[in-house]
Amino acid sequence: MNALTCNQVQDDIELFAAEECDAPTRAAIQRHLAGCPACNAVLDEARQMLGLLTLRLREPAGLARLQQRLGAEARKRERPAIILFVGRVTAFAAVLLLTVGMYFWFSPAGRDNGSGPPTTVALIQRVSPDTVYRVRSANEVELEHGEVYVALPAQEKSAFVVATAAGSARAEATEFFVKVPRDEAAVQVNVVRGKVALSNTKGSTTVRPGETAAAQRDAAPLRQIENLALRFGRSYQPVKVQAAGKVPPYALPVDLAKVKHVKAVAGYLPLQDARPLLAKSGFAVVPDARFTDLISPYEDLRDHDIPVVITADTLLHLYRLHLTASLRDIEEREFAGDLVQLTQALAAKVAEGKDAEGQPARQLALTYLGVALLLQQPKAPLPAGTNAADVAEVVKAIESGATLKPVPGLGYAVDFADFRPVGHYTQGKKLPGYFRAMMWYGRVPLLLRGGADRLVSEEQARRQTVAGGLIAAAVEQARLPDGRSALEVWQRIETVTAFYVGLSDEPGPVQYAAALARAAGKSPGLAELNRPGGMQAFERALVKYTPLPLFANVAHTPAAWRNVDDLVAQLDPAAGFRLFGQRFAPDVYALSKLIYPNVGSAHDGRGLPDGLDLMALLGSKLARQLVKESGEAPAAGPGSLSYAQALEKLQGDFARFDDVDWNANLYWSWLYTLQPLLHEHGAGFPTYMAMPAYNAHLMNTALASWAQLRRDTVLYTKKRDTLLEAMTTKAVKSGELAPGPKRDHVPPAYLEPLPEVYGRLLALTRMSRQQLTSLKVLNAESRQRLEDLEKLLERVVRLAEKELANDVLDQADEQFLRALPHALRHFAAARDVKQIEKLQQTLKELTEAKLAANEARVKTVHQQLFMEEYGPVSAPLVTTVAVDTVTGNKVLQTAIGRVDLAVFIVPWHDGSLMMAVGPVLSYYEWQVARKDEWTEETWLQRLGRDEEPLRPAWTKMFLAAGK
Amino acid sequence: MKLATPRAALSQLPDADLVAMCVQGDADAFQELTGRYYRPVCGFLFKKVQQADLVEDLAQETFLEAFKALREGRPPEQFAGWLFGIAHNRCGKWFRRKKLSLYPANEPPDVAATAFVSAQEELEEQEKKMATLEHGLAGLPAETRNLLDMKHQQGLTCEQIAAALGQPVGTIKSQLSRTYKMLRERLSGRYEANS
Repeated sequence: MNALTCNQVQDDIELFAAEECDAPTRAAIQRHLAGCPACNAVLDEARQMLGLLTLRLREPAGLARLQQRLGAEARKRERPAIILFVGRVTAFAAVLLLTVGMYFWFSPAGRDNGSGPPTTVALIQRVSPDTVYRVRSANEVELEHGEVYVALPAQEKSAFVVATAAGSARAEATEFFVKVPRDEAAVQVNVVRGKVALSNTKGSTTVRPGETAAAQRDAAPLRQIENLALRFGRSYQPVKVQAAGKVPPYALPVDLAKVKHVKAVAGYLPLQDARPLLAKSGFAVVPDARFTDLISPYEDLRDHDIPVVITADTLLHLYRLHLTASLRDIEEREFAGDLVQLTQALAAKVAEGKDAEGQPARQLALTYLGVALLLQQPKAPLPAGTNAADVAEVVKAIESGATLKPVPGLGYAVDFADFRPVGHYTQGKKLPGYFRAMMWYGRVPLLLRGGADRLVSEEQARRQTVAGGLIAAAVEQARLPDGRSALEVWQRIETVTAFYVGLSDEPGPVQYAAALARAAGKSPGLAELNRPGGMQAFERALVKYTPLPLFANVAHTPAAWRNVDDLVAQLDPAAGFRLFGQRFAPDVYALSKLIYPNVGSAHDGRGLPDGLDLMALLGSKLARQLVKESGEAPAAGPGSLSYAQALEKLQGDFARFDDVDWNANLYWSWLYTLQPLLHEHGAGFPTYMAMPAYNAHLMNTALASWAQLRRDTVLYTKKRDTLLEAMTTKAVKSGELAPGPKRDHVPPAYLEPLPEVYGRLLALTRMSRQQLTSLKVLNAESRQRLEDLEKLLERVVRLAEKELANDVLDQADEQFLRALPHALRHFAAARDVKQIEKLQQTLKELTEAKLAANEARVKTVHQQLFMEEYGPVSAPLVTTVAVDTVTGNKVLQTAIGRVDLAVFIVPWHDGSLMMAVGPVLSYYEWQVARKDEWTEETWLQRLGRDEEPLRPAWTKMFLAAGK
Repeated sequence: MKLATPRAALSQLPDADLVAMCVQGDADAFQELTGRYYRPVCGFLFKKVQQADLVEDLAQETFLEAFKALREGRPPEQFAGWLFGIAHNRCGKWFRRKKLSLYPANEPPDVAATAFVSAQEELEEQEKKMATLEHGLAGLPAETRNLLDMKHQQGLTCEQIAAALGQPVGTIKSQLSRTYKMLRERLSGRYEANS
């Protein structure tokens, strides 16, 4: 069936919602819906209507059933409550004890409970319908199989017992889940509130909210890592916004002679190239050479009495500054030191092993840890049993960025080029070593699989797996010199970084420990790996605990994705133990699925994705169309999909994610925040917003913001300082940054009306403050700044709604908007206010002295001041986002250059049209040979010499005169 | 001796009086409250869970819980707000269970944190929505109304309805589609009588 228009889709939308369309129509509508927010909105309406209609029509039957049940309940209440002792008296090994109050509740009848309702002190609910449990007494329940939810009032205290057939358990909790798989002597406890100690004859373990304790009949209970995705995701509270527009349209083409402030803007910007676009669309972006940050244009525009537009680019950028500053702070203050101590404690614990059989694996584990230790502390002593020569060789290769073929001890080759610290990791004493050690722990696995077609032999893989198991056991047992447990420190680093960037889809110490216990039946059970079939059993156990790539960060994994045979078959050749595995990023995953070998054939040659692919996936119709028109969408090849098929499949996968999933960490939440930028704006929105030029500009904003995200979290680039220096010198020389004339009059200001984006940004800022505070990452000042940003965004959301509703802004709103451009710097979280004040004072003294001899010093101080003030808010950056999968020797890089100035024709409150200007990010992407990858340094130098590459062709839609 | 209040008189009493009667064991009083709030509570639950099938179960649980609490002598200060609160918590529990059954080794998400703002607003919103729907249904010919009952009350598909009525399935579909469109437009506030 051909592609449908919106009208065609909306004709059938109710039948589609009622599942009454034939298959071809249904498929065609689904394809259309994948890229059309307008039709999705109508679909939502249709579903609402159908739901309410069904409820209304079934109401009489529902009410009748309710009356029946109420009658039964009333009769039941009239009988005396008695405690029934039900069920077989079995020699149950597991007993779950918890402190509860004498709160009586009528539990739902168990399958073979007898006739009356048994009473317990706890509220018990079945989670799965086939659950069978019996009430032994008011304080004891016996769970045969299935899953129950148990809750008790927090303030009450009294003993309560839950019995299961596997292991033995002791708990102190008031709200938790207990699960017993059918036909398996195992139990799993999930704590929601309070504390649970699960124990059996083999041992015991205590778990807290969000953690899981698992036990089998013949194995000690284990504590499993909490699901961080859930913990973080559930703290996200969406902000409701009114995004419907009521702004009267203005006629196109615009007669610029009738627009206010055109003369002032034309005096400030070269407007001649932009005039046709402005008349046609009411919007244009003009490249400008003056600014490298998003804050100073506001001050400059204000000084020149030009009406300003507070842009979405700016508000998104303000948030991002906080994000990167807080990450750097916690790494410097806490993690860099802790990682050294953790590594030392783990090595000492591993070195305690004495058995001859385990010696080769022990030596390998010690070498693995030794490399990380020396990367951080070059002179630290290595524990006895470490192969010091191997360690030295690897450390040397990493520090020089060389390739080792093979890495001694590991037996496979690693290219260490990416191990050079980048971004803020180049600064300070601790961060470079921390960066390298984390790269080592994240990138270099102790391999799980060996054999003829693999990277290593079976024997090597077995040894590496045993070494991984030794380290996993050390994580559970070791203590740091200050008394903290290694597990606690490991979890702290893992948890905080997971909140920033997400969780890994690679197995680590927790998964290895759990799988070893499961496969071998005892901890650490390493000897089992040497028996025939031992490795296979371990592999099968491990895959059960290892997150799937797509679901590493989401709250739930569909059961269909958890077939053990499939999981084993899909295991990556490089699967193995990583102490801090690399984090799964949805954009990286999605882009990798839209190129060879997943899409097209090697012959088609699409080995590199581009930014538009991601935009298309996140819902941009424009991006889909551009990809289609570019002819870069390959057809299906042998054993691979066509571009359209792959995109549809990915859209299906991504459609599984709900709010909780999208907001389980700051990385994902950032992508979620960007999505409304890709919506189309129709009637009721200011006229320029409905035009393709503006649409394309918003996509540009989303792409630039994505480049920032990649750069901040992946950090492929280096030495921003040098670059900035080149640019600063140029700007200062030409006097372009000199302030304009000061005026008493403050020009009007307008906010780019994107309430949905601001609403998500506000929700993200709130979640960041709450979680980073609860994780003890923020100091008082950073928290205050985030709170200030939150208040600002609250106001911004309401103002954007008002603008869209065409409400008249009151005096306070107007004052706020006019003052905002000047206040933005406050929210930009400059790194060191005191240092800035000191430099300003020095500069003032030097300039006032007017000595020729001071000239060089003035220049230096000026540059220092610029770095302090503008360095952190500087826009230019470059980052590598993908490597060619066909040739392997090309990369895709994305970059932000100088700040552009967007010119808006704004419908003003008094009915007139006004020209206003706001800074926006520029976006570049290019393919380049891997060996010629641009660093941030080369990018800034090129910017300084005006040698930017061409921008993507589609930017012509909104750029007045693109280079 | 305490005299039972006649059924007709119950409808004149404010919530607070009915609640006091429930606490004293008057089942009819609770029935009156059920009649008043069943529809808005369903609307509220639907807004949260977006599944009509599930709403009925959750509504039943909500009213049963309220009934038990009143019979145990725990009357609320303000019945409507309290009842919506129970409904809200029921949703939270359901979300927890849903998440959990999908991925057992996890802490369930706590959706209960997003509480509704005010019972009065909620009530007004639901009543307005339901009244709009009622208005739309009232103007339908009996034949169309019958179609809707077959589809939504009895759960038949268009094909089954067509077979039962001996009409082409296309006719059934286009009749339903027209009716749905009218109801949707009414509910979204865009309906014009002659459109």
